[in-house]
Amino acid sequence: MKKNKVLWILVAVAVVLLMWVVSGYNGMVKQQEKTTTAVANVEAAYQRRADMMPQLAKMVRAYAKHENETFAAVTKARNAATQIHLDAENLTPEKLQQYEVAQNQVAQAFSRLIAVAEAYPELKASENFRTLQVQEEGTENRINEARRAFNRAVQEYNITIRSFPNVIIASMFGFNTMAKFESSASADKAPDLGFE
Amino acid sequence: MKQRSILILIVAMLMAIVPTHAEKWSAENIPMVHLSNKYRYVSDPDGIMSRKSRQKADSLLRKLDKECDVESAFIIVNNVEGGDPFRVAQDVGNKYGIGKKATNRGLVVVIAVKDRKYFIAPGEGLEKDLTDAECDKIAKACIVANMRENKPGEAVVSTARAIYSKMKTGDSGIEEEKDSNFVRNLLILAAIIGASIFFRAKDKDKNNRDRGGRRRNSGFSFWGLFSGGGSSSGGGSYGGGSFGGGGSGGSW
Repeated sequence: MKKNKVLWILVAVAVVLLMWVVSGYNGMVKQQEKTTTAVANVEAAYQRRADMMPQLAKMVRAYAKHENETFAAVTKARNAATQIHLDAENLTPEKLQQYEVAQNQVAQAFSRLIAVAEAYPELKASENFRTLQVQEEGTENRINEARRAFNRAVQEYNITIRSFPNVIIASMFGFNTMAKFESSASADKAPDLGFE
Repeated sequence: MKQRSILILIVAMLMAIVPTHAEKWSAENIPMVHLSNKYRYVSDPDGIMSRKSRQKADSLLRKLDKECDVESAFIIVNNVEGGDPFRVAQDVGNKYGIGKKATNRGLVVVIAVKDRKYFIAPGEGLEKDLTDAECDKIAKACIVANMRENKPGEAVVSTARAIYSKMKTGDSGIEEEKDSNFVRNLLILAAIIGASIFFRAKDKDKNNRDRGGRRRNSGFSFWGLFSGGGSSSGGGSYGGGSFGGGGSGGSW
C-alpha cells in the first residue's frame, strides 16, 4: 500500500516535470519562430534596397554613360549581397557581421550612384529621381525598423533560454543564443541620399 | 512681510512650473481618442485645431474607415519625444495595432507643429495602395503647404481628404487642392449645402451615404459639422495591425 503511494507520487512528479518541459520547449519554439520571421523581414528590407539599385543605375546611366567603374561596383556589391543569407537556425555574430559587411557595400555603392546623379542637375530635378529618393528613404526606414524588431525578438528569445530553469530545457534540446545587430552599424553606413 | 515673501515664492514656483508643462508626446502618453469614441480619429491633446476642423477631419476619417477599410489615427501636437514623428508614428501604430489584423490597413499621421516635422505612416498592408512617393506627394501638398501658412487645421483636413479621395477613387486630387479658385470653391460649397438640404429633406437618417457624381467630398455630411460628431457614442477599437517603417516624412 505504502509502495503504491510512493509510486503515485513519483508518477505525479514525472507528469508535472514532463508538462513543464513540454510547455518550456513549446515556448522556446514559439520565440524562435518569431526571430525567424524577424530575420526574414530584415532580409526582405535589405532586398528591397538591392532591388532598387538597377532602377537607379539605369536612370543614372542615361546621363552618365562613362561612369563604368561605378556601375561595375554597383553590380558587384549587389551580387555579393544577394549571395549571403541569414540563417535563423545559426545566427552567430560572425554570420551577422558578414551579412552586414555585404549590405554596407550595397549602401556605399548606392551612395556613389547618388553622388554621380548629383552632378547632373537635370537628373536631380527630375520627378523620377525625386520619387526614387523618397522610396530609398522609406527603404532605409524599413531596414531600421526590421532590425529593431529583430533585435527585440532575439532579446526576448535569449532571455527566455538563458534564464533559470529554462536554461536546462534549452541545453537539453540545443537552443542556442542568437546574435543581435549592432545598433550603430546601419546608422553610420546608410546611403547619403543627397537631401538638402 | 513674511506673508508677502511666501506669496512671492508661491507665484515664482507657479511661474516655474507652468511654462515647462509643454508635453513631449510619445506613444506612451498620446490619448487615443478613437478608443473612447468610435467617431473620433484626430488626437489633438494640445488643442491646436479648431473644433470645426477637427470634426470635419473626423468625419472624413470615419468614412475612410468604413468605406475604404483604413483604420487611422491622426495626431497633431506641439512637440513629440526626441523631435521624431517617425518614431512616434511607428510606435503608436504597433502599440495599438492600428489596422485590421487580416488586411493590415492602418494609417498613422503625426504632425509636430513646434518641431516643424511630420510623418505619414501606412500600415504594412496599406503600403501597396499608399506608396512612400504618394505619401510624400500628399504631405507636400497638404501638410507642408498649409503649415507654412500656419494653418494646422487645414493641414489635417486636407490630408484626410486627399487620402480618403486616393483610397476611394485612386486619385488624391491634390492638383485640384493647389488651385484655390475662389469661385469654384464657392460653387462646391453651394453644391454641398444644396445637396445636404436636399438629401436631408429626403431622408434624415442617411446622412453618410455616398452621393455619386462628385469625386471629392462625395457623401460628405454637411450637417455632421454641427451635430457634435456623435460624441455620445461608445468607444472604437483597433484590430492588431503592424507598421514596418513605410511612408514618408519631412519638415516645413
